[in-house]
Amino acid sequence: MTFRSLALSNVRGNWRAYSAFILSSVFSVLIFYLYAAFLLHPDVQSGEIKGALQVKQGMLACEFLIIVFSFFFVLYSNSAFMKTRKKEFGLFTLFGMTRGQIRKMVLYESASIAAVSIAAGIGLGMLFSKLFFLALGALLGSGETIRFAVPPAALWMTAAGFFALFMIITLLTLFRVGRSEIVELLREARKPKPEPKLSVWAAVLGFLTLGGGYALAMTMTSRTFLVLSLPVIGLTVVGTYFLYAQGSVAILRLLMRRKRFYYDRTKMLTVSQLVYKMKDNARLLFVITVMSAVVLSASGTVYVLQQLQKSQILDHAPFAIGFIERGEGAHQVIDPAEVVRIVREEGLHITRQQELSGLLGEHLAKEGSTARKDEFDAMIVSESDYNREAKVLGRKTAALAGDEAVLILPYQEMESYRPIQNGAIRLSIGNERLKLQLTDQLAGAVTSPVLFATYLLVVDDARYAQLNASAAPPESARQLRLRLVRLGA
Amino acid sequence: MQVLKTQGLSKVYGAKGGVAYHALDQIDLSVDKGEFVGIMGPSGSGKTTLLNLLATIDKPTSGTLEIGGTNPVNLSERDIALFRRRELGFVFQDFNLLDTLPIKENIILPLVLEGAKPAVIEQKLRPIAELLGIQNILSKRTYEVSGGQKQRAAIARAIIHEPSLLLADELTGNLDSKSAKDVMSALQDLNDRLSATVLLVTHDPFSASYCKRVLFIKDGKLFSEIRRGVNRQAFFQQILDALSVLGGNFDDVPFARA
Repeated sequence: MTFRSLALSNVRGNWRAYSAFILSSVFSVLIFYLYAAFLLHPDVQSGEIKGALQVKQGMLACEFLIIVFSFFFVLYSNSAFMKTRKKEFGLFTLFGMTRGQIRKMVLYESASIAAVSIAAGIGLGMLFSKLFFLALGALLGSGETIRFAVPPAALWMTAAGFFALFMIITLLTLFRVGRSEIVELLREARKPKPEPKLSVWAAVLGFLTLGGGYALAMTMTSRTFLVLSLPVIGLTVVGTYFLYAQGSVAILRLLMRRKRFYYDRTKMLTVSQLVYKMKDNARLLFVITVMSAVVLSASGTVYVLQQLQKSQILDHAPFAIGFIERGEGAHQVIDPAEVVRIVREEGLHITRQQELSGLLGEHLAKEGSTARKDEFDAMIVSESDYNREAKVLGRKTAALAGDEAVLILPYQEMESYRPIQNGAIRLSIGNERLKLQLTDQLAGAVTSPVLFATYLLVVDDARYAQLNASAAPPESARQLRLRLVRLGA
Repeated sequence: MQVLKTQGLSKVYGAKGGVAYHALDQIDLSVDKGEFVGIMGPSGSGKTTLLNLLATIDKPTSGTLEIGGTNPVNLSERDIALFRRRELGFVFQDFNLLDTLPIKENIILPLVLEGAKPAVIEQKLRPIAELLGIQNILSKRTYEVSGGQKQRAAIARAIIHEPSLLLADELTGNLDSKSAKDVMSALQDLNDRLSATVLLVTHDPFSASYCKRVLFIKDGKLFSEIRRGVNRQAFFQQILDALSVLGGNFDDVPFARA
C-alpha cells in the first residue's frame, strides 16, 4: 500500500458519501460538454448550420453560468464533506500524519474524483451528443441534421476547465484542513448534534421577505424595473434561505405537535430525523435553488432578448434594403437590377420588392412656429400608396380628405412621443409653401426609415396628384423614389 | 532506561476571567523501558488530561515532559507529527480503525506514512500479527471482525512501528469479558516478549490487574502506587482495596468482570 493507494481506498470506502457529489459533478460536466460540442462543432464553426448563430451567444453565456454554478456547488459539497471527515483527519494526525501529508492525501483524492467525474461526464456527453444535436436541429428549424462529431477543442476545454475548477476548490479546502487542533477534531465526532431550534422571528422574516419579493415582482412594470429589480433579487434570495432553514423546521415541528399523526408507527422516526436532516440540507438546497434560478432566468433573459431584438429589428426596418433616388430616370445610388443580382449571388432570397413614389417635404413645422430647430423633413406619399403598404404589414390605415394629412412615425415606441402637435402645419416643397391640417399621427414604419423617408406624410390622393404635378420639371429634384427590398429565409 | 519522565506537570483550564480549574497538579511520573503501568482514578480525576498531555495532543500549563529523551512541547508542528509517528502508539476505547481500509492496511498505516518499503512492512507485520493472534483476519474489513479482534488489530497498529511508549485509553471499555481477557493477555505478551513500554489508563480493576504497577490519581494529584507481586488475582484484590480507599465515582464503567 502506498500513499496514493491510501487516498484511493479513502474514496472507495467513502463511496456512498461521495456518490451524490460525483453524480452531480458528472451532470455538470455532461451539460458543459454538450454545449461545448455544439459551439465548437466544425459545421457550426464554419457557419454551415443555419440558425446556429442565434443560439450560439446564449449557449456561450450558459457555459459561463454552468462553470459559476458548478464552482459554488462543488465548493459547498466539498466543504460539507470535509466536515464529516473531521474525526478521520484527527486520527490521521494522531498517527503522526503531518499537515503536508494530509494535504497531499486530500489532493490525490480530489484529483481522482475529478478524473472520474470528467471522464464519466464526457463519456456520457459523447453518448448523448447526437440526441442533443437532433433536438437542437428541430428547435432551430433548419431542417438540416447536425452530424455526430467529437470536436477535440470541446474535449480539452471541458476536461481542462473542470480539472482547474476541482483543483482550485481543493486548494481552498486544503487551506482549512489541518488548521484545527486534534483534540477538537476528535471531539467533533463525539459532539452530539444540537437540536435544530425554530426561531419564530427568523421564520416570519423569511415569509415576509419572500412574500415581499414576489409582491414587488408582481407589481413591477417596465418603468419601475431599474429601481425594483435589485430589491426583488435581494429579498427573494434572503427569503429563500430562511424558507429552507426555518420554514422546513417549522412545518415539521407543527407535524410533531399533532400527536395523533406523530405517534403513528414509523412516522415518529421519519419526522424526527427529517428535522435534523432538513437543517443540514438547508444550505445546500438554498445554493442549488438560487443557482438554478440564476441559470433559468439568465437563459430565459437571453432568449427573450434575442426574440425581442429580432422582432424589433423587423419592426423598425421591415425591408432589409432601402435607398432613395431623387428626380427622374437616373439611378444615382445603384441600379435596382444590380441590387437584385448581388442579393441573388449571395444566395439570399427576395420575398418582396417595392418602390414607393413621394415628394420631399421640407421645413415641416407647426403653423406659426418660427423656431428652425422644430422643423423636420418628411416624404409626402399618397393615401392609396400608404394604405397598400400598411395592409401588407398589418398596420393602421389612414382615411383622409381635402387638406388633411397624417404623419407616420418610424418606430412603434414613438406612440407616446409626438414630434409635432396635431392641427395646422406648414411645410415647403421646393419654393412652394403649403398649409395642411394634421389630423393624426401613426407609429410604426411601413417602409424602412431611410434619409427623407424617416417620416412619411400621407395626403389625400387628389391632393398628392396636384402636388406631384407642380413638382414636375424643373422642380423634379423634389420627386423621390424609395426602392425597397425585403429578404427572407 | 527511562522512557517517560514528567516533572511538576500541571494543566489549568479556564484561567482567563473564570475560575481556574486544576485538572492536573504537579504530577511527577517516571516510566522505565519495558514497564507496564496502569493509571486509575475516579471520573474527573485528570486521567484523560494526563493522557492527552502524554499523547502531545494537548500542552501542559507548566512542568516538563520527556518521552524517549525529547520534550515534545518545544517541537514544531511538523516535528511533533513526526514525533508522534515514531515515538508513540495509541489504542482507544472505540478502536478507531478506519472503515475504508482492510485490517491489514489499518495495521501497517504508520509504516506507510513513514514511507517504509513493502518488504520491510511485510516482515514487521508477520510476527506481531502472530503474537496477537490476528494473522487469519488480515484481509477482512473492519465490520467483518469482532470487537476483541478489532482491538487487537488496533494494538498491532500501535506497536508495529516500535514506538517508545504505547498509550492505551480504556481499551477494554467496549468489550465483553472474554474479549477483554484476550486483549489484556495479548498486551501482556507484547510487554513480556517485545519489552514494549505500555501506559494504560483505565477504570477497570480487571484490566489494571494485568499491569506491573498501578498509579492512582485523585483531583489531579498522584494519590498512591501499588506494585504487582507474582499472583494476578491477589493484585486484583489489592487494586479493589486501593480503590475503596480512593473513593469517588467509578460507576461510569461497570466492572462486573474478574
